[in-house]
Amino acid sequence: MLETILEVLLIVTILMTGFRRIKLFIYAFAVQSLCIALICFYLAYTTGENSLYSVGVMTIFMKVILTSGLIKRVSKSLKENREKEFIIGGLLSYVLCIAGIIITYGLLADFGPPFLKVGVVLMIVGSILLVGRKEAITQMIGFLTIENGIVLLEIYMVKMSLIIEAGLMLEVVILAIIMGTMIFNINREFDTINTDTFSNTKR
Amino acid sequence: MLESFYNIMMTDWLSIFFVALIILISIPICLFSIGYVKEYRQNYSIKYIYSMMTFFILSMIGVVFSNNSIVFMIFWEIMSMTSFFLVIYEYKNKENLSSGIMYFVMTHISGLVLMIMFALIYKYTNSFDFKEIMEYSNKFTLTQKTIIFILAIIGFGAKAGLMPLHAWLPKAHPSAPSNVSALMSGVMLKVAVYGFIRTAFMFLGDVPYSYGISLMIIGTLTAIISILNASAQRNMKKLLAYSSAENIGLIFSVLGLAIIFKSYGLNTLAVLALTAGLFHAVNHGIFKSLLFTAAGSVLYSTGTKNMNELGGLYKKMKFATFCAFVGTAAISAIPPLNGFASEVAIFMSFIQVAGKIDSIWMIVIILCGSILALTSGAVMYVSVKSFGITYLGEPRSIKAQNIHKVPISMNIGMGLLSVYAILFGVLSKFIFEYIIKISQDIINVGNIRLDENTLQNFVGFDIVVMASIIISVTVVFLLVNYITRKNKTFKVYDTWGCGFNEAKPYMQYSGSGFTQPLSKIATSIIGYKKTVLKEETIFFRQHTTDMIEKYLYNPIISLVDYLAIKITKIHYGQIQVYIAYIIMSLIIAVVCVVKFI
Amino acid sequence: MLIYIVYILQPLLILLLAPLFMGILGKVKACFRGYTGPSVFQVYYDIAKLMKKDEVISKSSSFVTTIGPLFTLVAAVSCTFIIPVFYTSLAFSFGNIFVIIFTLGIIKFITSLIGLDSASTFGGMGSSRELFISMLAEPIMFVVITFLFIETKSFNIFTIAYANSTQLSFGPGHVLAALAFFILLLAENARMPVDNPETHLELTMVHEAMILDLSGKRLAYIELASAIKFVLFLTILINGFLPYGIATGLNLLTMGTAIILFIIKLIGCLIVIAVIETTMAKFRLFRVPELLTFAFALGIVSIIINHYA
Repeated sequence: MLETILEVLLIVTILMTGFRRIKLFIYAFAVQSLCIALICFYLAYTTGENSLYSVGVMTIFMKVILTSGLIKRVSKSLKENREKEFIIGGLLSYVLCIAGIIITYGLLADFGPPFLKVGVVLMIVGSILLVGRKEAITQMIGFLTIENGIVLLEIYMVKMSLIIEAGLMLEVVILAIIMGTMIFNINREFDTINTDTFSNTKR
Repeated sequence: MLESFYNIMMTDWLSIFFVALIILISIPICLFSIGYVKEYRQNYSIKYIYSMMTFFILSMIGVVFSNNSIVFMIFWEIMSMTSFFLVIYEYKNKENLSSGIMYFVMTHISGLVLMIMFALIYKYTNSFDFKEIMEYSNKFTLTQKTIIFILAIIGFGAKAGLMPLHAWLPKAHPSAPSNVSALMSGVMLKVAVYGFIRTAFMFLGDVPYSYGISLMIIGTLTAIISILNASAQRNMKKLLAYSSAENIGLIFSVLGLAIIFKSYGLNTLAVLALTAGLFHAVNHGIFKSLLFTAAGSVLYSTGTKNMNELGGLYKKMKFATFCAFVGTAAISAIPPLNGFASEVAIFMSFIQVAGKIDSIWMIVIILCGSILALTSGAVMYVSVKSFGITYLGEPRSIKAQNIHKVPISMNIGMGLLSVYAILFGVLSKFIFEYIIKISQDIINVGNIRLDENTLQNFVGFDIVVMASIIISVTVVFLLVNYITRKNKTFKVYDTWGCGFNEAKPYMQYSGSGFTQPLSKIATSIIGYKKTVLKEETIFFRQHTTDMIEKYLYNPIISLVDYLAIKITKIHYGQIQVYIAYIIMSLIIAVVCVVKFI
Repeated sequence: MLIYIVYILQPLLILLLAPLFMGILGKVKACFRGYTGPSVFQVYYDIAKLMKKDEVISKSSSFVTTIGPLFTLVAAVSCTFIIPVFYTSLAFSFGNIFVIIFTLGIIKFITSLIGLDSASTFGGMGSSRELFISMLAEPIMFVVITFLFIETKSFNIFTIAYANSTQLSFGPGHVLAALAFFILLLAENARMPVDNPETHLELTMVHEAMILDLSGKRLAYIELASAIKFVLFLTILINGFLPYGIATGLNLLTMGTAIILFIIKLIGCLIVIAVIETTMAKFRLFRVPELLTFAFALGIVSIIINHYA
């Protein structure tokens, strides 16, 4: 059961490196967070730690509903809804993703349970999105994916961690609110959120 | 007297296998040459080409049969010399001379490196005889083995066409006459493979697995870069030359895999991988010679090698088209021909790594295997281009319409090679079992018992079953086709053009346009540049360069040029200075020999 | 005695029912789009009509157009003899999966040459695109076969089907490899989003462009061969990746249920393909490598997960 959820998570993550439309990014992020919540529930059921149940519920509420909803509202007012050109995209991002997965599984071979490695893979994919794209919303989604990866890592490492989990969730929501407001204002001011134009503001 | 022959020849199974390969492929090519040299009767001397070809073939047999380092090097040099003279046979064309000189330099680099390798082997084992070196094989230290292995890759790789020493192949093969290209590509490259197998497997004995992995990566890179370059060529023979480099890369990857298996102790799999490599060497000799001889007959009839000017040759050259079709099907791995049998054997060797080797290298080997699967798909793309644009469709220029008749000896040679291709495919089960005995001898692990499990994992029986099913179903369908044919007619008319009836021949796809998608996604590897100008008419030009030649060879050549100009300063012109130089260098050489040996 | 009936019945089932399955696919698509659509037996009527018609052969063509289509049908029919449909056991000594996939590659080879043979622009364009796409699809095939070898330790498709149907829980990576093989199926059989099988505009044709110039009997052969190839790929997907249902014993009851389960699973796959064909548009040519690289990534990840689990 755990294996199947992890496989679905990996499919959505690898698919995410190749997307161009912003709506698809939001859906993929929502599915990712849902999978993480299901993993939390499953682990809570098997190991009997009740704190993980609340972590799962918080994940669903904060990430799947709140954050996705916020980003979706911001993206409604944007003029362009897809990436036109990018620094690392298309074929090259898939190849980097494969290379990252091989290196991760090679280095961390016997280290821990499988979702540890999936967490590191999520962080790698998030970094590819953060570094390789030009639209600010995609960079934000990349950062949020890195956060998701950290959550997966942290479920394994620290056991009684309800406060840390709550802190992470709060940080994610605040980040979404701040970035959403910023993007909304930047869009209203400059009429675009393509980061190429931002480098024109330096002297 | 026969015993004295026994002492001067190497008579183990490896040599006999390669001599059989050389003779098997040379016979149809010689038959082909009888008709082909008629083209040169006015301008060049025919006795020259016949005598050089004879010496070439005899020297290759001499290389394979030699049992002594010095005899090996002598025959190797004779082989290089005669092939150089054959490459510059059409000396009236200036371009052929410059390609010939590049080939000369590369083949002497390989000869030089091989001489250094054999000299080092003499220093370590104190003997020139191959049999004694093989007995010494486990007493080399690890650094000695590394040095010999690296020198063997450079020396034999320069002759066979591995990266990055392959740049002479696309220059020498188009310049040589077609029968010589067929000989060089089909047979001479295999002699380099023989030399490498002799050194790496029999002289060095057990080697660590990192050698195998580096060899496999070099072979894979050769394969993928060569086939991407092949897809962008207009010249038929250059395309076939790059395709030869790709197949050699494939053979060397499988040899690397055999080294990896042997170092992990999986002897059965090592023998099977080596067998797949040897089988592919034989098959490549057959179908590449077939394709080069077909290109030769096209050149004889039309006088041009540019595929964008050909087309529609089927109407007047039916037999040559049919033989080229068999060659194209063989190289694209169509069952039940011979290319299919060896490609599937290679893929199965790669996949059987899974579960037996338990580290990160398994994933690297699977990645190399999937890159080789990509090159196999690209080979089908490139060979369909080369066959379809040249032989099918309508003639694209006036040269393709005035066709000379092809002499019958050329047809006999090509037909014999096609028969080989079909036979080696359908009877691959028996040939495979025969080659397994040869590989056991090479890897020297005693008799492996091929039980049901491992033989089932190799494909010979399935090919026989599939071939018989195909033949029986074909017969049934031909009967049905004949029975339902009676009361219908068919009409021969123009091609359907969606309502446009003024179709001209230049509206067909050209060769460069056919592989343009591949050129577009691999721009940086093949140096693809496109110029489009829109003045009075639209002007389009596309151009590809060999990147390795541009970024690796040209700087080295300019450096050597620069140093040569600087060194000319020591020539004063007076004879006393030159004599002083000779005496000084003689003293230094004597001192070096006394001190270091 | 019963085994001989099985040897004859398995190929006959695929041969006779392949056009019916294509008709069912058309009917489901029409149902999603909201019109009645052609009847499920329409492909049979089409093939019978084509066999009766006269033919026009282009005057620029050669032996490839004259006897090529017959060989594509021969290749497709020969493959139906060595694939398990509803019965498998460990005693089959033929049936190597590489032989099956390469023999189906004969169809691709001959149709590409037919495309170039007719000396028209459409044919060359179709051949060029088709060979480009299938070149990029070869690594996926390699990786999926590697995964099947890791799971079942054999290359023989009968053994793979046996191991697949008798296990009740799968190792990790199974879903990923199944999805990778599904994308390979879409690419090789000219389905959306790689190629539109219903179009006749030259900007969007890949498979149809190569056979544009054929008519009559020869077109019927190629249509039938394409239908059989599609059903064969679906059979490999079902028997290699979806569990339950194939008969491993030689009695009539299990074989009967095996046939019914096979047809149900096949119709399920056809419904999924119909949903994809109705909801997605065809990708442009240079986005297809991205889709195929995604499938390759799935295949490699499935091997890695299986190895390190």
